[in-house]
Amino acid sequence: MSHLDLAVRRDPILRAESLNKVYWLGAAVYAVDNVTLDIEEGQYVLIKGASGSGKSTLLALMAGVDRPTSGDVILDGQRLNVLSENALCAVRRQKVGMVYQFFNLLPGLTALENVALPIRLSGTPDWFALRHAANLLERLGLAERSRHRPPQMSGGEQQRVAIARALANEPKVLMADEPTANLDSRTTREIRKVLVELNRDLGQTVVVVTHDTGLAEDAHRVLTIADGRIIRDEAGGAA
Amino acid sequence: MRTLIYLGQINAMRNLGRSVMSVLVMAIAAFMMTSTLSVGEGYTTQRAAEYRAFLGGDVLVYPGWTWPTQTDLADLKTGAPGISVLSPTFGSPLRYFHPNYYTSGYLTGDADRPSPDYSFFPSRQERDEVLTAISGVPGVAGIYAFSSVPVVDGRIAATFSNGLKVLSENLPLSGFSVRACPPNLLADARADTPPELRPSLGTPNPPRTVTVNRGLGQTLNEFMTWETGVVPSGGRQLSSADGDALVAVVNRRAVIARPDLAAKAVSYPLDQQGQPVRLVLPTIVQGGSSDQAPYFDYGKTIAVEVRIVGTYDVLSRLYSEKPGPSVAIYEQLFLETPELLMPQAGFDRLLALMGLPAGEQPPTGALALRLENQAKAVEVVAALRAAVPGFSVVSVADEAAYANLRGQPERVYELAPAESMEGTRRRSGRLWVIPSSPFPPLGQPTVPADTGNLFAVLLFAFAGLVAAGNATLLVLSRRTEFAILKAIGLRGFEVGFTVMVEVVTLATVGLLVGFTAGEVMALPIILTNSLDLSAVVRAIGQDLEVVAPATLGCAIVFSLAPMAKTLSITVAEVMRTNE
Repeated sequence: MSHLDLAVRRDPILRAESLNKVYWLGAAVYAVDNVTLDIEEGQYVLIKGASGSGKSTLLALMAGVDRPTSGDVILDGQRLNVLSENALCAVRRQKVGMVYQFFNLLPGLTALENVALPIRLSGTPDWFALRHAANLLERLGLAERSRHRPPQMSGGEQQRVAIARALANEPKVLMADEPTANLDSRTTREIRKVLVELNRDLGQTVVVVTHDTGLAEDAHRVLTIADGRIIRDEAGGAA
Repeated sequence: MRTLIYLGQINAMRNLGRSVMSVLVMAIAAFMMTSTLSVGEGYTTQRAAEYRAFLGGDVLVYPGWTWPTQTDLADLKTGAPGISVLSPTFGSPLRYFHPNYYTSGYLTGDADRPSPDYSFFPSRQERDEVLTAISGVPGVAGIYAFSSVPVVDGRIAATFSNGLKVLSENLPLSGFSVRACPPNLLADARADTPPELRPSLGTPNPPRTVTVNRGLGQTLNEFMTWETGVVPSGGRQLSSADGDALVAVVNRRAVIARPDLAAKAVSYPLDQQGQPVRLVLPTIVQGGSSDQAPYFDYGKTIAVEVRIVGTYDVLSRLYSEKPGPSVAIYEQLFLETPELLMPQAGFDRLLALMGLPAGEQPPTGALALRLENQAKAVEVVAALRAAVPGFSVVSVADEAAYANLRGQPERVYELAPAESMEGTRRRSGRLWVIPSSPFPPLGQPTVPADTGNLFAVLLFAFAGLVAAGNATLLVLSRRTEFAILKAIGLRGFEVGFTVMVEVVTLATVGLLVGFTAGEVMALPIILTNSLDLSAVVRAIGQDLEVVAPATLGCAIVFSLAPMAKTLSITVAEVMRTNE
């Protein structure tokens, strides 16, 4: 029995309801156009599309990073549209782990401190936050690099630290925006492996936005987006 | 909260290099403020050394409003009882706050106590009350009753050149006073006397005036050695070996202060035994009641022979003037106090000859107080004023600094002749009204406004603006970083708080640098006041209590602008951006 089989029997962990994101640039430009979407717990979902197709905007809306013009996102049973900014912060802190193309680590902190930061901000005691962060780094093969600061690390290492940070508060959904776009092929393989293992071994729900079609092999489900609309919803290589 | 503070501190240290300007201006502001505390007062102390040496006290307490404030002067009414006017021909242009000067011819606010018969303590009860009140003020290390004996008559032989001829004349000593020489001015002064309170040796017979016209090959430095100090300028110094002998030294400048002798080199025939001078002095009589203190009886005088064994000059400051765009004149100023100094034992003997009963206090002109810590003179003086209302409490250091800071002679409350202050005149056909304030202080025609405090406030405002501008620029250049914080779940105000911590941390670095520099500057001066370590530490602590809240308060207020900037940063900014 696969994770997918388990997931379909439950409520979706993430639901997008008629999502729209409109920018007014003289005329209305639909970055996201009436997207309705369910993502089940434990799924590895890939969203692909050309540049400017709206895939990152869709990810931002689903992560609570941006607010839709209309429609709503239901994350782990919680409607995001009705939440205040502070409540949305709390949702991002507790339920979403974000990984970015350019890693976005805090350069003044060590790898360990970067990973421990979201845990600390949740009010967890420092000793526990640091121990948990150390475990995550070890799981991602960065135990030796935990005392290094981001500028002292390679791109692949930084992205793995970013993934560890995203997992720090054990989020319901791990979302990654072009996680391999800035990496060489060898490092890309490493990151792909990490994401697959997280999904396969831990049941972590993963949503990845990319234009790297190679990642489709790892996903259960592949969504193709164009002009803000999902034009194709198909099974991925891992389905 | 701890995590946010940590984040702010980490960022401050990481961005220290980019925030050098913020740290620097904060350091300068903190330094300047510290300077207005210990350094400023220490400087004051140093500059008042000659007065301290000469008067034997750091703070003087006069009766009534002998030392009037500007408000007092403004409130005076022409012809009010007890107000007298200094003779326009008196002494040199330099007047100062010597206790003897409030006597005949000087300001005195109490018509019931006309000088020179006045004594500070007309009754023993009043004396006890005042002394008790003063001794209870923290910071007062000692009280010395300033007593001097007015000279009714006497003459001293002097020679001076008048063109090609050397003339001899017996110059009058009437109007002089006799008092005990402060122990620090004795030739064998105790070894622990601070050097700035000892007579300056090696500069005998300094010139009356020093006029330097720069550009003619002369430099001011050639004359700077005569800037301040008490200088034995002829004969010999007094010493404790003189015992109770009636010997004295005379202020050379006072004798030659007469306008007709002003530019002449006067000397006195002084051999090893000194010059015998016959002084006519009032007698001292007991009051009518048992509580009344002794006072001078001018109706009954005695003649006493005193030997003048030496002369001294009390050099005040160099007075600078710039009469023209390319002309700078520097004039050496002297305290032309008409005084004879005697050894303490000799002075006591003199008082006894005048009729002072054994064990009785002579008439007292003022109280000279020694302070524990010169650097805190301002605070102690404020406390003294509160403790003895109705008396004039004058900080010697403050008065000297007042003049020194402005390059002016010492502050003088000299009143114009009363008749010139009244009525109106017609001038060029128009009615010219005498200014409403009837007693403008003369002698300092242009006193700049005291902008010290305003300057400190402006400096902090400037420092804060620079720091705020710098921090705002830093925020703008690190938008992604703050967006990341929001992306991982920090609320807007939490992000702003990290910025405030960052600015405050930088200000703290500036504070530490500036404050340390300020105190290091102050320390040698504070230490020369023979303070113990605990007093120095206490003084530094008190300075920090002022400077730290000002610096950090300024930082907090001015961090609001960069904090506000972070509110407009959105999480979406981290998507696909590379800082």
